[in-house]
Amino acid sequence: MNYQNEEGHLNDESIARYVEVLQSENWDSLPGEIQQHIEDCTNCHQQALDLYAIVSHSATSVAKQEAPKQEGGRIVRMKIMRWAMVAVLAGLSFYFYRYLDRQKPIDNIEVDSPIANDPDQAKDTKNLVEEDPGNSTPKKEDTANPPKSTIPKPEKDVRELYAANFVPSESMELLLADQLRSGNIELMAPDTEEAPGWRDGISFEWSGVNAESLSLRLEDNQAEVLYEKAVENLRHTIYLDLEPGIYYWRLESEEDLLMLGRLILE
Amino acid sequence: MEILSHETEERDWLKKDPDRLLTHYQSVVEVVCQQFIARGFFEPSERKELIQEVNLSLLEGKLEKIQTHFNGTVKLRTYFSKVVYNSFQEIARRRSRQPIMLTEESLRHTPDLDLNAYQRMAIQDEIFRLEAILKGLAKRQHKAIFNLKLFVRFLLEHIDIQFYKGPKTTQLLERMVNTFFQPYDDLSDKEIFDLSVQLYNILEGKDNDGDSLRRWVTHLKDRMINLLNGSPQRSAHTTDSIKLLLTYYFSSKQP
Repeated sequence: MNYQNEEGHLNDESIARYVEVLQSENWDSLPGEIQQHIEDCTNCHQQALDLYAIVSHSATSVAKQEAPKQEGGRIVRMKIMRWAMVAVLAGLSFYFYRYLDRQKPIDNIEVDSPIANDPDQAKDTKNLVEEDPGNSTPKKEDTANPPKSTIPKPEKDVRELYAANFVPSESMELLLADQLRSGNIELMAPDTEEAPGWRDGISFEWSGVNAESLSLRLEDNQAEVLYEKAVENLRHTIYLDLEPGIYYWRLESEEDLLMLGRLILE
Repeated sequence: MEILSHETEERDWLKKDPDRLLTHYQSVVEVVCQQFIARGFFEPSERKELIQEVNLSLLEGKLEKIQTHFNGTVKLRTYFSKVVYNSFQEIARRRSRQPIMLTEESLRHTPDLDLNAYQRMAIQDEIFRLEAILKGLAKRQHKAIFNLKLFVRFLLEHIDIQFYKGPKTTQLLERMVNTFFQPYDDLSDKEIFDLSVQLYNILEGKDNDGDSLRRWVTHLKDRMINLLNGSPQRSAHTTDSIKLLLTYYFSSKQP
């Protein structure tokens, strides 16, 4: 095999081969001619150093690109864990709620009066029971401890009822902290994250100058896209039957994320 | 397995769909371009235009040349990187562009936040090139790194000496721990290599003096300067700047 070009230097593939051996450090796989040439020829050695640097830079940039993916994977795993914990907690709460509230078997045990000593009294008692079977000792549940409903009452705090909807999305919270290229656009409405009157529609309004075509997207805290529509004249109202919870909206142009916001609907 | 299938796929694109291969390898073109900018051959504002020019040259003939000349003894990506590197080098030559010399002064700024991304990349680039020289020493690499650390007065750690541990070296290594595990800038090269050479005399069954080891390290350092400075010159290394670069490199490799 020819390792050299017409000028007597190592050809590109031989230099690449040397560089791959530098990476793997598997010196047995390198032909002696290449190694000898590198030791004797400063020019080829320098080219190999440059290529090694390029390949190492490329590997670093690939690793950097991979990192957010892995981070994303970690976030997904954390989300799953968090949801699993929420589910376990909810299950436990439900169990204890029902268990503590339930009629305990001991509550149903009637406390009998002492058995009559004389047979006549015993007979009277028996007759009394037979005549009126319902006239036994009233059960606890009939009197002091009426059964409670296990259905949550509507007046409970919405955050408790929709706890899962109020868990902030880590990735979106990070994005919120970033400076975005919002350009000349400024958010006018909703003026608070609570968006009062949201059940009747959430009205967005921006001020400023914009020549790009824009779209508005709404996501829940699980990054599920619930809504995406084009925005005209920097105004838009979202009519959706939403549950209380944290939501994130994005205003995007064709190329960029211009603005990002959070809604806390209670 | 995955790497192999990637490689097969890429080689397949080279034959049947070179345009797709070029799209797939755009990150390589980007990195090489940034590297040339970082070394001062081009201005950051020329980036897009340069990438376009290189892509065009690849589409107009170089990819075809790759099809003809590539023998498949290396990864296609590595070979492609070399072709792209050649392309940028040709442009730099054609436009008579010179690099910005990397000097002791520019290295004095530690690879820190006060440097811009290109300046950091230039230093990282030099560190990679230094690493390549050290790796190229193959079996002598460990000995070279150990003694170069002593040369720059880098604090040693147990990981540096564990390779040498053995019944014959126990006492000597204890002396080394007492000497080189805390600052030893006040020691002369002679004192340092007189101690270090004893280790290799034990291991290699030789009877050398410290001065021969010191000369070997000096020769190694001079070779590094020669290779890194290049011809045509692209860095202006001196003994002091090489010491700085070695210190950065050793620090970057610390666990």
